[in-house]
Amino acid sequence: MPNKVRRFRWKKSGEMSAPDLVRSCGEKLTDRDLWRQFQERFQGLIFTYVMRSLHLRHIEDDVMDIVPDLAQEVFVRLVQNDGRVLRSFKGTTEFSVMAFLARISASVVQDYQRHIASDKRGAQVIPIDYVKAAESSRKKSADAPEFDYSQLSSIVAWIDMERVVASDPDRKNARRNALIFQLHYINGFESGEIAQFPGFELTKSGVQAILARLRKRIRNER
Amino acid sequence: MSDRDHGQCLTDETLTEYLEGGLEPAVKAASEVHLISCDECRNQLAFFMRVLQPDVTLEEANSVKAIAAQWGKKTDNRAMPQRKLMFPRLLVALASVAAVLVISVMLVWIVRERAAEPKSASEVVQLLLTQNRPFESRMAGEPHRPIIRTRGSESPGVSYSLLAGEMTRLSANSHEMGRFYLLQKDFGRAIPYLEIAEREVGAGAAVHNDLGVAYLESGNAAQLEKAGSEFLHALQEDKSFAAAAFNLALFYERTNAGAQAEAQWKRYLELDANSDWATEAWGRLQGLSH
Repeated sequence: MPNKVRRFRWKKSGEMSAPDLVRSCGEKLTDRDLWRQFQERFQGLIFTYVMRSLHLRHIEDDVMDIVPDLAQEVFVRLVQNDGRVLRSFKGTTEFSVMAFLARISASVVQDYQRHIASDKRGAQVIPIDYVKAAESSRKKSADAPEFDYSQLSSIVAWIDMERVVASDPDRKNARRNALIFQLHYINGFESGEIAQFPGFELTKSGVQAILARLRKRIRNER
Repeated sequence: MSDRDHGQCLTDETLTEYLEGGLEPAVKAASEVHLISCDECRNQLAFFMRVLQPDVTLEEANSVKAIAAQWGKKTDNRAMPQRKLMFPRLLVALASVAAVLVISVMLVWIVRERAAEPKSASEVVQLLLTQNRPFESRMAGEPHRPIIRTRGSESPGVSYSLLAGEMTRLSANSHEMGRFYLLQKDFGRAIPYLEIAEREVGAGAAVHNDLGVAYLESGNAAQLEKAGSEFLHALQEDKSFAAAAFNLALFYERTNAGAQAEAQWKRYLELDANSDWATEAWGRLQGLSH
């Protein structure tokens, strides 16, 4: 990702952990001190997630005006129905809090898009093919020199992913490896971006090794 | 690939738990089977991977800073820090006199130019209530207006989206925000705010009454019973609270408790025999008697 400047701030020493803070806010909806902490820690995160969701949904007009309103809606969803959403949070890690806030932010933006689409009677609805084309046209990543992205759809359509999975000697992780292959070549993620997610259980060089191995096998099978 | 039969699609929660590494091994394996054959779910997974990228770009950081400043201006313009100046006392005194004169002139101007504008969030709500009666039941402090059936909630000439910004600027509390959304019939937003207000220390009859109105008018059968409890709670707080007495009678009418409704309208008329609300109550009582 270009122009990286910083990572999200998490807890300072002595502060409550992010999952505990979320749960405490759910239990004490009117505790000003807890909510001040919540706002200090997560407000920027919510703004970022709302902003990214708008961008990914190709909503680019008046973003600076829309984001505060949608962020306010995120807060409303957190507290409505007696804080049901907050109280349903079961996560134990910092990432689980990020994912929780990202889901709510994305859902608010999705509802907003539906709302504006219905207001305009469908005139501004973006066809799914357009979104897919935008995904595919992302600039070529540095660690995928072999492929031209304009030819990707035909190449990937030709590759039988089931066969890729079936012929992978790493039986335990064969499906995960195939998914990483697709995320890299179809969705345009770089190795480092994939490795940042703990669910893949890989380092950047681990992702690169899998991609290199699958590329080699597919080339040999052609 | 996407047109194959690949089972049920994954929820957003499953997708983010996959990224977190929090799924049970069997669920994780099944999710991967689905993800490599369902383009839609994989694209949604990619969506969350982009939203959740831990690195913030310079452009994003600047945007967030600007948005936070905008948000802060709206919500926190009360606590402006005061600078400590080290001027000699005489200078301070002269400056004070000058400041008093300037402020006086400004106040005269503000009073003259802006006398009609609401100065607090509760005044905004009150002003809106004088222009529009949103429903049959009665919010706390609501002046009487005849019921006009309309489809939408927006009054002609009222921009609620602009007023929402004004409510934030005026530091509206939970009760005021709840009332603001309630008179727009935006129950999804009104009820959470009013429920928060109800739990705050010192929540009075007005809060219970307005929460009852929100439950009653929301059209949600599950919340109808809660409306009755809130009106009773309001009357426990203040037995002469006319709006709650009015609404309780209306609640009995809507729940087909005819005898209780009739008795409650009579109790209401003991509290208020002369206002326009009383005239409406008389009409309803007569309607029940015939």
